[in-house]
Amino acid sequence: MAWKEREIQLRVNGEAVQVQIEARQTLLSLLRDTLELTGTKESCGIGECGACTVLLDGQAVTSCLVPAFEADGLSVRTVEGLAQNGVLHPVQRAFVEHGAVQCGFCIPGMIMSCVGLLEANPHPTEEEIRMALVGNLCRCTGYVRIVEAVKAAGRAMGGN
Amino acid sequence: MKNFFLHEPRSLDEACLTLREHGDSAKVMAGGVTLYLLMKHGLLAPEHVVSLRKIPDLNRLESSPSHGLRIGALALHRQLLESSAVREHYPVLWRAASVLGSVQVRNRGTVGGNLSHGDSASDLAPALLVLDAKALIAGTARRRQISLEEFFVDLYETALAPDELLEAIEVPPPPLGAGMSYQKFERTAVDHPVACVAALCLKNRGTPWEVRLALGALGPRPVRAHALETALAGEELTEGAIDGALGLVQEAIHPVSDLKGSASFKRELGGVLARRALLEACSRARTR
Repeated sequence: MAWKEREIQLRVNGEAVQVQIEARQTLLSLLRDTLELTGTKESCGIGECGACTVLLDGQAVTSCLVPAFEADGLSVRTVEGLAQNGVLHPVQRAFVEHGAVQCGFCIPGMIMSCVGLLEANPHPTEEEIRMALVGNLCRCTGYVRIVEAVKAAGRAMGGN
Repeated sequence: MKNFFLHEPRSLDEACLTLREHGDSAKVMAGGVTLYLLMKHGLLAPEHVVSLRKIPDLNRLESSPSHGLRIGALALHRQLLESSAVREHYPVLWRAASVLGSVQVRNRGTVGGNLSHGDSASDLAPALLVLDAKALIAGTARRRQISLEEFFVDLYETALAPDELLEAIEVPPPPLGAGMSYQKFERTAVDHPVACVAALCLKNRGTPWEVRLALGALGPRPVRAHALETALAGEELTEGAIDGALGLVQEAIHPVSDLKGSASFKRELGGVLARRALLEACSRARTR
């Protein structure tokens, strides 16, 4: 039957979650407004800037254009789920150590894209890194230190 | 954006019936990327959205040497990139998919959604046009197949009737030894093309060359440059021959001035990209 509101079940950062959603709701709204996980940011709202990037079943997506109902039965990872027991994820650590963060607004989405990249390709070339980050805009850094951080994180995550 | 009734039909027939029932108040959703974008901009406010995601096998990508490529309408752009068959045998399509949008777009956007939107600025369209792709269309209790060229009617208008859906794109087996090229000009790396051109060149042993050229974003619909193709057929494809025929590209395109550039800029761009695509495709062609 067609529906306007319903309940969905998904995993968010490893935890099972059951939430009521509207058909029109985006995954971004589900994360920020319903689950109050405000680490993921809204910027352009039309899938071009990447600030809202999360990993949906391991794949980077711009959550502002993903219908919330599409996450039913799937797993979502956001920036809040990266650090474990207070220990930063290697990508987070590399961003900090390489000075890849300025205002910080693009960073959660940027980091999730980087995590997605490195989990699929632990030894990316510089070209591959830049191509993978095409959908993540940063107005502050000029991307240089972000790219360096990704290389360093790749090495730390076990790539050589 | 306004809330809506979401329908999740389990078959194409059910989807088409739902569309027929709700007429103008219903919109189809594939990956939802373009649909949500249009709804957020306030350009669309459907009361009913018909999601195709629960129709089995609609996202399958199949390839065989005899039948060619069958791309289900809900296949993601990413699936094209992950397919070794596409990469090896349809490199123009693979290349177009690789520069389409961003990782995030390719993880959600579908081939069918991209084509059904009827946007002339589609990376996939020129590549599929030079591959002589066909559109398999499903309607209420009927199926039909048309060339992809006929599928595109006008800007944002396809040959789909209100109760029809694109079911799959079928691409014939690639001609042996064909050289292919995809050229794109864009403002930023995540952008829709300002202009995009695909070329395919065949060099038959003992007989003349064949050339196919398709252009996107340079008119209301993606097109094949038939006049140029006819002019170059049988010619020894030298740089001089290509340059001599380039003027015919202009007959195929009708660019408009907009934020991406002036019409005259786009015309010049079309010519430059066509030249590059033809030269590259021909250099890659192997005599068969």
